[in-house]
Amino acid sequence: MPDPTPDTPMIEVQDVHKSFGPVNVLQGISFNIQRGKTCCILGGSGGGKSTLLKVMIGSHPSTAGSVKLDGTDICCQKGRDLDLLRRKFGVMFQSGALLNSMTIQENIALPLQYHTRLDQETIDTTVKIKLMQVDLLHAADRRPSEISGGMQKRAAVARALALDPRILFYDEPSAGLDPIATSRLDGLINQLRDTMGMTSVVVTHVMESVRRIADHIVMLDKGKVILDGTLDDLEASDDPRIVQFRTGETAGPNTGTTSNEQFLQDLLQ
Amino acid sequence: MAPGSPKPQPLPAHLLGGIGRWTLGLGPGSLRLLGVIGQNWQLFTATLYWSFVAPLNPKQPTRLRSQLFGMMTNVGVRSAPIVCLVALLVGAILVLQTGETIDRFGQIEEGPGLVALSMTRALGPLMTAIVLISRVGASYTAVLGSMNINDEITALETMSINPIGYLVAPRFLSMLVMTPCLVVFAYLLGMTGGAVVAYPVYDIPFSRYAAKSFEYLTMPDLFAGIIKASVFGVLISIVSCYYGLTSRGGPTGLGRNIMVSVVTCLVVIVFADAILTALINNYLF
Repeated sequence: MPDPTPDTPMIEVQDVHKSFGPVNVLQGISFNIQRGKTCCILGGSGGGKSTLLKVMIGSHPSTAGSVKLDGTDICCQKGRDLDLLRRKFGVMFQSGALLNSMTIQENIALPLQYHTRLDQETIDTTVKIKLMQVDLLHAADRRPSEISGGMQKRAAVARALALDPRILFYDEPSAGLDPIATSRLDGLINQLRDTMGMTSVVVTHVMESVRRIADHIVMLDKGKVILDGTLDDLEASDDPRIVQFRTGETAGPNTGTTSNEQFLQDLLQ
Repeated sequence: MAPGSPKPQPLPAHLLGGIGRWTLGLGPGSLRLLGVIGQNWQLFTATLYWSFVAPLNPKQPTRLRSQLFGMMTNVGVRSAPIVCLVALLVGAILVLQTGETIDRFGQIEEGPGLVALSMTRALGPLMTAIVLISRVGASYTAVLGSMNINDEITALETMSINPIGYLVAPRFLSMLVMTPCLVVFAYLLGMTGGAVVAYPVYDIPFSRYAAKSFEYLTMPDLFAGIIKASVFGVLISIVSCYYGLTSRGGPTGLGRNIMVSVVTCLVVIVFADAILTALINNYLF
């Protein structure tokens, strides 16, 4: 296993392909993410960003290519080695994916009880610290169904932080949240980067969030990378696909429709 | 063909097409069935590992003990009232249905033996299994299926928590242990149900009923039912967990899988009962 140094990227995605039967969802994705940076993976629905996230966390095996997390290729890992590698990162799922049969506190304690030999008192203290980090100490004894969507997502972040990972993956963190809850979650992502040096990978399509949190942007379209750069590169790009995504226009190459004027002209020709 | 006899009519094209499609469908259908059986076998072997081998390995984290008590309470204590009620009624019905015929031959005194043997060798385990399929098996499929749809199982995997060890093994063990216990209740309540009806209808007092029952019963009869119950417990837990873990397609897919799980469990249990009865009667007791 190569010895990772601070200069090497935390995540290296190299020529990743993923097919489901005859459908090629990812077609040679490559990019690097530096340590302590927040990378936003953007793209329209069906662009392959959720599939890419599942390949990156080892839930789906890639058809070809490699994803190195802190120097270790997750695509080659199986069984106990994969389990050990997975402890280096946490994942916040779109739905939160908290276990509904447990309280928030029990949800966060679960990975600690499973993977550490800490006594119950130390686990309780650690859980309290994690809950304070996401400002949810008051909801410790509630079940996921008894709290709001934004609180569920912050609780999911606290659970993902339980084993002190070095990388956090977020799948559509803003989905289903009001603007205030979205802004609060974005603040939490920034706070984790600034205070703990967390490397974050955020799959999203919400431009306001991207402007608040992104150090690095990777944009996908039809399974290919069409932008690998910074927020400034995104704002300056004149690629019609990126322009349409940035401005939110309904007519453009991403939707396959044309403007009203163009539609009239095409009709009258 | 005799001259003048009517010509045989050709089969309608759509009927032939239907038979052709049905025949062609047999191949993929059989392969799918084999695939499902293979996946259930894989789940069974993995569950055996997580139930009996992994807890002995200090490096392999499991939380079996902390979950087992709650699961066993759910399967055993909470199912006991309904199992007892069903067994009581089945015992009573047996006496009512068979009593008249036996009485015609002047053998009503042997009725308790018939109820005792029916309850221990056949009906006790079968009725207990049917109650557990509807009460516990369906809930296993529903719980694991909704966890799957809500990404909770993927979340467990990303926390390096094996879903089979965490979710299936405790359910499997609690069914394996509690189903035979429930069957013992079913024996007792079935015989009690028979006695309750036999006294007013055929004038057999409780003491004579009990004495006659135990005159017929032997230890192998009791063990035959317990062996069957253990196998039924294993089958119900594996099949219902399998359909939960493979749920796809939101609430509609989950509803379909719960239905398929219950029906499959019922069919599997009846098949297993037939095979076990033949094996036990011929080779064991």
